[in-house]
Amino acid sequence: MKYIVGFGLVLAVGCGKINASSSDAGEPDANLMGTASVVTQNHVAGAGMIGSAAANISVFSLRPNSSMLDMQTTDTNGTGSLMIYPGGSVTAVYPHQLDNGGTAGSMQGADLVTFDGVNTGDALTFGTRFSQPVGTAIGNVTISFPNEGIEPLENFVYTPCGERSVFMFPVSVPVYAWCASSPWEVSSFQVSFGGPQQQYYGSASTTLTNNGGSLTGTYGASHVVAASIAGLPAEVTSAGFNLAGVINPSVFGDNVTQPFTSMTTLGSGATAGTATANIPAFVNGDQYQGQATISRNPNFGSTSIYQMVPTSATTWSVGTIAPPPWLNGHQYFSTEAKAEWAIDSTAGASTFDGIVVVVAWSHTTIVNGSNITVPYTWTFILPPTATSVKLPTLPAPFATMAPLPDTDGVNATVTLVEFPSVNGYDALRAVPERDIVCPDCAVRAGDMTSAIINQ
Amino acid sequence: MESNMKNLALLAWMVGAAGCGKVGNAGTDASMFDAAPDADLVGHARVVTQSHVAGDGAVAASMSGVQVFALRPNSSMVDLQTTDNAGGAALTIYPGGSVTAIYPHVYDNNATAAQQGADLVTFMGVKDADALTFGTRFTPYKGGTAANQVGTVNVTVSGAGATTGFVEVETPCGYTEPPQFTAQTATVAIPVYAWCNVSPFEIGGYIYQDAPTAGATSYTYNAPTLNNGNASFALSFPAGHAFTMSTTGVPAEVTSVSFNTQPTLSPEIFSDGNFANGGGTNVGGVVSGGAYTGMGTIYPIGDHLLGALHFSRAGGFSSTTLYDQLPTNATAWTVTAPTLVPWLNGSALFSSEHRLEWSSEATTGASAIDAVVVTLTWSHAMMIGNTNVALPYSWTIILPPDATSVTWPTLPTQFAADQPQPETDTIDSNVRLVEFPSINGYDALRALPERNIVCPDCAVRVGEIPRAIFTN
Repeated sequence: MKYIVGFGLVLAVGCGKINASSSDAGEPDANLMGTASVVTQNHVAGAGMIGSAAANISVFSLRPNSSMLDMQTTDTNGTGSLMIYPGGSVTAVYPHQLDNGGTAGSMQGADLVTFDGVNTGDALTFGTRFSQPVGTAIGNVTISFPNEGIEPLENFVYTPCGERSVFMFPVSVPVYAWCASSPWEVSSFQVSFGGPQQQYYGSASTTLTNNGGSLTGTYGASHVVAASIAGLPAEVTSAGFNLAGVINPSVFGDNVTQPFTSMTTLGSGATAGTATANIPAFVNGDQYQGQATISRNPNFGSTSIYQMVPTSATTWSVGTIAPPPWLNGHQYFSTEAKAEWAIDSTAGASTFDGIVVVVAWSHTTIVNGSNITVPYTWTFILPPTATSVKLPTLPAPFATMAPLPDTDGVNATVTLVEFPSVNGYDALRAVPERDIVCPDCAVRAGDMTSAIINQ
Repeated sequence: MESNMKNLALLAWMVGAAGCGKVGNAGTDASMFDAAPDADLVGHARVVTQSHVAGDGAVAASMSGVQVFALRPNSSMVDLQTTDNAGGAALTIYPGGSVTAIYPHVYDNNATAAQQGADLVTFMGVKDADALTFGTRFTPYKGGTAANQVGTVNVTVSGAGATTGFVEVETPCGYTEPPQFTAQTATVAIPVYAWCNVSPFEIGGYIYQDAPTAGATSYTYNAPTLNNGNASFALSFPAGHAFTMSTTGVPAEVTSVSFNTQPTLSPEIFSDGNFANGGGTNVGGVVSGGAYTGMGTIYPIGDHLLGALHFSRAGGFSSTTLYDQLPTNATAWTVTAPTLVPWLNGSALFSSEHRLEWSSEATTGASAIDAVVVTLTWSHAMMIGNTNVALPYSWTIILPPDATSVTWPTLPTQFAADQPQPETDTIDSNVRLVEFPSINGYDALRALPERNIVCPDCAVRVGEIPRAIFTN
């Protein structure tokens, strides 16, 4: 009996379909079980710091036919142990806390996260990077850069606590507990509109005293960073390079880890497998996030390679890459609760580690005569052979969270993920969710040295 | 005996494949079966090719010299013919296979030879004794010179109480906007060419007043008989009247509807001048208790009204539209208990697999449909000298109603350049579920001219089909 089930699993993988709720394959073998350890870290705004333990999170494992195998609640350390079905899935459910003004109950959505194709002995770490709520200020930093250009001016100031736009310096920026880092780094980008438009870039940092202080920066001179990438496959038609300053990469916020683009240029196209470009750069932030993007015909996704680059660099060699295959379209079929995609593996394409599918939807309900929108996301981490995923039927306690095709607008994104330092899907499942679902964040935060995605 | 066994096996496979909702001409679906299609399984079809692209002549005119070919489901060729002077050809076909016509373009890239794209049209799932009529409605080539002008229509616009303002005139030959009129009159001379030399020559007009009543509008209509392409006449201004639009018994999942009516002019000519600019009305809103009623004002102009009723629901579904033809003097349009087609629930083009897939949901009371129409469009880009030249292509594939995917055929070698090339071409796709209540299923649908299948609203507009319902 086990052999029959095993053969079925092999066939399913061969077909590239991850069908967690299909009953066609017959009943899974009740004796085929393993165990996995689970760690739940914070996932949603309001839960606390990124990477901290999240207690009391419901985690459950399903067989491939959506039947429940085990459900547990993580302890005060955010840990738990689950029986799992090899090839089945493990899902964590994180209720939101701040939807609709933080009103408890039915006005809160949730984040669901599923590792598919789990195996015995897996150690799965749930938790992601998320934008922090503003909260109550615990201090202020007064920031000043020269008002250099001819007025009118506009200054874009990036701090660990967010981005602000001001016309003239100085400016006072509130500090919150989640962004009271030291050194407290600031970058500023000034545009002058009087006369010919001029741009100025500068960065500075200070050590906070009692969560506050003052900081005066200066603008730097531009320099050229010569960027190059090699090993491009024949189908690549264009390449682009981008360097963006990164500020306090350990803090994740709307305006911090979304690095402002201080300079961009587009390569003149790949020639004989190589593309180059000169990037006019300014020293900005404590390091650059480098993003090289290679593209082919628009029927296919673009591939981005993320690496960190010192701000003092005058050259950036992405190196000789073996990009993953190309995503060739995707669609979410809501009535079938299924996302499907195609992958084109051209000559020289590398293997990759996994596929991340994010399904997003909102329930709309009427509460006291008002239309209330309750947002949900469901992230699936899948083996690289998958070409579709069918949403499993959620266990009864969570059934109301499932997307409702008759009423909810449901969207899905698909991303092929490759970490050169990670070898395949078994190793990928040992990587924290927060790095898998945001590979560029993983590189910015120093968790990974390089990441390659196609989407 | 062996052949019969093969036939039975193949038939069983075809039935199974149909049950799966997949229509595959090559690649994954067909290649799952190692055996080639049975070479003995043949049938015959009559093919008629009519005009398809600008430059071919009038819509529905016979087109000779068009290449048509029949393929087996594995893309192997059964037969290739070129249509005769009457646009006809007899073709050997493979039951369950496909028949394709290829119409080279005429006017791409300033009509430069060797820089022409093409229209491809394929009927899938053909059967023995089919009679397939290719040809579509297309916007005619509107160019004209004094040398090929056949006449002139002189129009005088006056009255309607306006002393100053502007007027728009729409005719079978297109749209024109005479100069601002003063002293209560404006005149315009409309050149008439062969492609729009029709009688009656239906004209719609629209006046916007600057004075004496700024913003006042009037609509007008006349349909003179041309004399060798010539006529002179003045436009009159009928009064508008109230028009009620209502629907009841709408399926429960429909959340909102919208009505649109437009007068049509000389619909036998396919042109953007067919619709009067105004004179119709639009209303819409939320459905309550399965019903909606709205009011508007229409003007009795044109030769009839084309009514469009759009149905929308929540979730990730395309809207559905129902088309009816109405008389111009109608005072109401009521659609009672409409039976809608299933709801299209998304489509995905996997170009590297030559495959398009879609999903639909048949809610309670949904009708069967007659066919699925898939359209692929793309451009080949090529360098000629130092110039980038784009060759536009379209491929319309007409499929049985149970299809939920199509793997498009591999074209025979001589047409390989007309195949979409995912590596270089940006390919767009469209999927439409089509139902004509007066047509009963896919076998009957294949007897319709392609032009009605691929543009159901056109079919209603010209009165060849009384009602059409399809997904957008």
